[in-house]
Amino acid sequence: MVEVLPRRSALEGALEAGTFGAGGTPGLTLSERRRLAIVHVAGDAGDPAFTDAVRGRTGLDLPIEANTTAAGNGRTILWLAPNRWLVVCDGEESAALETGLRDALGSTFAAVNDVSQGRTVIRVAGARAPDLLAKGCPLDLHARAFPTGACGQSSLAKINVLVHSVDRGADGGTDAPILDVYVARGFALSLWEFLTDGAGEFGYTISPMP
Amino acid sequence: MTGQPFRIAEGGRIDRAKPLTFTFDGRAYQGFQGDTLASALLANGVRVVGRSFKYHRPRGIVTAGSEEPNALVQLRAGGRTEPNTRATCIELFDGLSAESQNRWPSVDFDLHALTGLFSRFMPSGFYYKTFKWPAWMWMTYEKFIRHAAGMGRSPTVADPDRYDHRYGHCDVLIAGAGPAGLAAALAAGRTGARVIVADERCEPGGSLLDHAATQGGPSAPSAAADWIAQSVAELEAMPEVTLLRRCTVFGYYDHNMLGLLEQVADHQSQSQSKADPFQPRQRLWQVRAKQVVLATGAIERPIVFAGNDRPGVMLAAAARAYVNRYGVRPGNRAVVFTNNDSAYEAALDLAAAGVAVAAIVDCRAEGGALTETARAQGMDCLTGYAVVAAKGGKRVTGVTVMALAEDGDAGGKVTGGRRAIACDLVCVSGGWNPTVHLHSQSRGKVRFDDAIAAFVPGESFQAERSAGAARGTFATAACRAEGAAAGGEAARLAGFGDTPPPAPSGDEPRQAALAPAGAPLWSVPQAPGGHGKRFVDQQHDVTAEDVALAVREGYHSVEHLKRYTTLGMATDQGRTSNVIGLAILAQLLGKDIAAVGATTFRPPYTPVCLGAITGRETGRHFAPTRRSAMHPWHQARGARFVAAGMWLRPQFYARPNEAMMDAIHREAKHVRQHVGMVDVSTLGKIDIQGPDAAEFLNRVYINGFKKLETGRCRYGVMLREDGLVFDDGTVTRLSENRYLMTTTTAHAGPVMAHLEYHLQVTWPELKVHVVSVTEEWSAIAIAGPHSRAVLERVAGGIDMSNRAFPFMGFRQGAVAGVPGRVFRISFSGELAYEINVPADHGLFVWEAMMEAGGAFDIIPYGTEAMSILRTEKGHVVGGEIDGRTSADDLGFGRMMSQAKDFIGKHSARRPGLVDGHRQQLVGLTPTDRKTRIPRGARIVAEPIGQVPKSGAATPVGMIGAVTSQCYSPNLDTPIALALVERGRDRHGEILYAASPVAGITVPVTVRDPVFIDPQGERLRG
Repeated sequence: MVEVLPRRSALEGALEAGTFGAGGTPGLTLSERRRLAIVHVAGDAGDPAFTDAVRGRTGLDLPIEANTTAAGNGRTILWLAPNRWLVVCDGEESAALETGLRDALGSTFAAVNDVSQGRTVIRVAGARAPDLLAKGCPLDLHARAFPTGACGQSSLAKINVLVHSVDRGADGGTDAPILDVYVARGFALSLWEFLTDGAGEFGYTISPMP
Repeated sequence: MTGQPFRIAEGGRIDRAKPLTFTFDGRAYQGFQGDTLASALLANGVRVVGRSFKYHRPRGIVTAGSEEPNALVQLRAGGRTEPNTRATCIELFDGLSAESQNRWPSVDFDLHALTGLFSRFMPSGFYYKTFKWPAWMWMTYEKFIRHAAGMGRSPTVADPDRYDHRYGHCDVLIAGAGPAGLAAALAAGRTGARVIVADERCEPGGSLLDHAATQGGPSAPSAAADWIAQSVAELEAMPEVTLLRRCTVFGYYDHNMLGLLEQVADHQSQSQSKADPFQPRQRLWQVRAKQVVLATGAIERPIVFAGNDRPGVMLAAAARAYVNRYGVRPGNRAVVFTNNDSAYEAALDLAAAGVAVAAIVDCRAEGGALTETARAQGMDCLTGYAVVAAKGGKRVTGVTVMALAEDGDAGGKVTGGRRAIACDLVCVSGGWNPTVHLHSQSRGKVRFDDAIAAFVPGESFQAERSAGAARGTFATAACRAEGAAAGGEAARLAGFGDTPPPAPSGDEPRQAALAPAGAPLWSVPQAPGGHGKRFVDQQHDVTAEDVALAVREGYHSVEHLKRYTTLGMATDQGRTSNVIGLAILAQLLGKDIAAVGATTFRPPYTPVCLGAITGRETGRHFAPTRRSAMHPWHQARGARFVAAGMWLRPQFYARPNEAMMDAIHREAKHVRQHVGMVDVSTLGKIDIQGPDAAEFLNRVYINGFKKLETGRCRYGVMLREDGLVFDDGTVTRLSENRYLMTTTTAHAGPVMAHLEYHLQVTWPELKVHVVSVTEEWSAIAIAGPHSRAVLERVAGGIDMSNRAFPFMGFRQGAVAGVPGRVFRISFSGELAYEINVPADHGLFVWEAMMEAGGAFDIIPYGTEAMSILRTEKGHVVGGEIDGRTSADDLGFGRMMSQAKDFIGKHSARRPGLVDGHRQQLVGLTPTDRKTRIPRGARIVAEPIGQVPKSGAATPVGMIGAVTSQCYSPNLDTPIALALVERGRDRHGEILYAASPVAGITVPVTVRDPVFIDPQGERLRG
């Protein structure tokens, strides 16, 4: 077992904690979700051997309906396309997750890829979070159209993104929505610059990284 | 500073406690909060606000809204300056500065007004006629026309303000917040539907705000004002309703997508804007609406008569708005000229505000419903009369009135004696045009309604409906009822509420008393001997005579008439002129207006400035940038970057005081002599897994992949279905059923799509998954004789010996402690390796390798040196794989497997791809080994005479072209790759590289494309 290596996020250096933009109560908070294990899983949703194996390792049923997710035990499975998902875990080693899934699948026809370091996940939270994303993303992010647990792929500032509706508040209202934006690592800084520039109008806080 | 001589003592929706100072043409004036620039200018007695487009005639304010054709001003200065803004829409703010346009040297004294004297030489279509004959005269005309015409100046420096974009979604979008729009919003909002209401004005209420009844304020509350206030309060309390003020719905596109322009801060003074630097000046919305209600109101139209453009001639409803809403008298003594009842309401309001009404000239022989009311107030009502001419220059001084021979008709004759009436204000009403623009933009049909003599919305094409005046319903109560029904229906169709479809509107008259009785009067003919200009389109200076000339010249279609005369093509899009122009055309052709038809309405409804369209997509936000994990290192080392698609790649790393070419040549030479590292993270990487992966690869590449062993790499070439080369790269077998494919940077996306397509469509039976892992891995190529020695220092766990790790081998192991992948592949032709590590460790590993290489004098190199190295080695890239070359052209003919089928195999046998005359890849060196071979040069077999100084000889008999060229620092000679007809048979021949662009022809020797180490001893060593 090699020692845990220092990982350098694509936003290293750009992400400076503090409160910025227009005065008053900040309308949203930006942060990066670091050290996530993100594994791309491809397999036949109609094959019980495949779905059972994934359930066995993650404790979650694969979401079969388009643009939905399954969540629990600190893990989330996001639907990407027919027969394709992202398994996201907080606080788990990605190699362990990848190996575990591959072992569970055995000879079942499926493909497992650790993509943890190829994606940057930016969390946009707060009352104005949907308004910020609406500056560059044509998805309808209203709580009615994009409730807790929904996900969708679209463009944000001309960059391909996956948006995950983590939480829309207990009443389904828009009090403090939490939206996670998954972006290819290479575009992360560009997207971060777009988001921080656009958030100035609402006032925003950047959470310190642990 | 002057007083405000035309300000009424009290009343209006202005805040007299907040005086504002502004300048117009450099002179300071005062107005009040709540004024527009137009109302403030009128209050100060300023009547001439600009000069006309063609004849430079003095022009004043005609309207009180966004349809204004004349009062266009240059607003603000410097980077914030904006031409052609309508003074009637500019909310006054403290410190506002505006200038009149299109005048020289001043608006009061304009030399170009002399143009008017030559106006008979500037008939309709004169611009086109100047092209025709005599053609050489155009150069002379042009100078004159360019100086004289034009509408304001564009800014010459960058706009410092922010503009923003946003997407919106709603169940019901309502355009307009007048009586119908507010009622629609309430009805839709109460169902819980998501509603957006947008209105171009600063406060909701629409035309009600212009009426005397809404002006009372707290001291004199009115039912209308209360209703507006209560409606707005209720809407603003609804969480799912968004009420957008100062927001114009300017475009209606496919699939119920609408464009909105919100003028967030245009009404603020500079100090107010400075207080909130994050607020955008304007915000462009793209809204997807399930249902749309168009409550866009109606626009009053003028009547054409001689001198109808004189300052002081104004629409009746505008005059009414100025006295009621803004507390401004637009004149002291008015003549009202109308063909309908609405102008009487204006006359009564004017009189109440202290403006003397000299006469109401009503073209209807019997007058209308309010004629007796007006007479009872002592007004002189001349029924069956028309204004034939307005007198005056920079402001109207009186009108000439004559009787109409027959009751109102576009061709009506004027007769009898002339009566002159002195006045300084002429209020005109020729009826009302429903604002059908958005309905028409949505591809809805329009229909001519004889009852109101105007186009009204016909059949809808998209999910929209019109309500209120936009539908030809003018009475306020009826507008509200119609709006409520439309809003409820829209919500119901979007899935909210259960409002039944609208019931027939009952007793309420749809058109109230506004409709012209009988046939409308469109234009008043010249009085006998009269010759004053009768303007139809004031902004483009198109007269009734111009329309008649165009008809005589054969332009009978409305679309032809429009383009020939430019009628309706100005920035106001003919809001006040189009229908009149059509009516005159119809009358001249002896047809009905309905038969003549209308021109197409196009977005935008009102001008949208480029800043709003651009939004934040300027500077570094112009396009996204893709950076590798090592980007910060490259930056710190002074790399110059080059765009490769969206990626930024280091082009070269210049040392202090080192010239660009010196740096590039140094890097290329250093790699072959010592060792260098290049960031190749941008190459596409595709993970391929599944029991049929080998079979799949076998089908997409021209060469065989079934025998590729685990731990080995293979170079592959893939074709498109048409048999031409698509891309090349390497494939590594990672394990039994798992492969890693690399692609070129440019083709990473297309190759992925190609693989997905064939797996999903062509061979769904193959058990294969493909996943793009480009972004997961940082990739570093290390090349040069010392590359093995450097790697041994950082990847000690891997046996680097040639025997254990031969060329085209693959090993997994720790690199600088990071679990990575090491490939022994070479793009440069040197002993070389490529290292992949997870991207979060990329910078760390790069730094560790640079440090380990210190003992071997390692350098980083950029894309330019990489390109030289591959050209020296004869490797093909985009210049050669240009979508026109076959595998055989590029020397891959023998790679094409005969033993299997693959994509493009059959197409590659087409006669055109196998004939003996195809151009083939060769190397070139200049015969003198000194002269650079020009980029893109054509290859010819014979020298073509002397090359003239001012350009190259014409390349005839072209047999090829240079595809890549550079100076080779390792061979100390310029070299090139080229595609040359039967090139492989020509090795040793002397040909000529001719560049008409560079103006030179270079004799070149044809040779094998591999310039360095053709036996491959270096890379296998």
